[in-house]
Amino acid sequence: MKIEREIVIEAPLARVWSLVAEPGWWVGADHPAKEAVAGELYVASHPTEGTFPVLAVTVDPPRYVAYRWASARAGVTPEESNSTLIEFTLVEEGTGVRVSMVESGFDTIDFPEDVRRRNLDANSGGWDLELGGLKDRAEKTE
Amino acid sequence: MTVDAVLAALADPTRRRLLDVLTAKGEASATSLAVGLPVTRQAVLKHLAVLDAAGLVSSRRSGREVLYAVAPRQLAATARWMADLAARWDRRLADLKRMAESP
Repeated sequence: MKIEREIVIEAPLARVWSLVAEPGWWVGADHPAKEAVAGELYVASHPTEGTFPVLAVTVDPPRYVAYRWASARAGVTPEESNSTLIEFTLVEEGTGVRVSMVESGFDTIDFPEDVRRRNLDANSGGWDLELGGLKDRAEKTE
Repeated sequence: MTVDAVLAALADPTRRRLLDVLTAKGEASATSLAVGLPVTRQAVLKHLAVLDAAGLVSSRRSGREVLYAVAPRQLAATARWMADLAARWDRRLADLKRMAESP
């Protein structure tokens, strides 16, 4: 089970890489403003969602970087049993860069009860997602 | 019935196939499900038990057999949850784009 997203950015590869390689950039403004080093653990924090340790798994400049984070449990050190893997791949396209993001590993981790409830209550932002036919099945039988 | 039980149940290709077949048939017994799949009736029953525990199928007795059907509520809730996570990534990537493109 994974989430795949991508976006095309009109900026040079080096510029996009420098941003994507900052560990925990997606969490919010408060994260280390330097290139991640594989195997290192970093901390990024969000004013309301909490503090997230982010592990740099693979750093392959300037096109690929992978992190682990335990998004469902702020403050927990990411390991395979409690975290998802986030991979960013950069490909030059025209004058810009296509950034592809894959977050995987949702089917192998345990979520804390409060997170399950909150997530189940959350409203959807649309059906546009990679779920291997989940949507079709749910709609066909409802 | 929780998200992780649903995700773990869906992680297995045979169980996904079972859901597909059940969706197509509407309702079916373990015996008739085993006919169309490369697994034994015993294995089908085990997979159905996992799907049942995750709230993904329902069952009812009809004469001498038990008939299974897809229960859509948990599937829909899990799909909503994944869609919410995906929407968060759209926002994060849009923020990244804004930052990278600003002079």
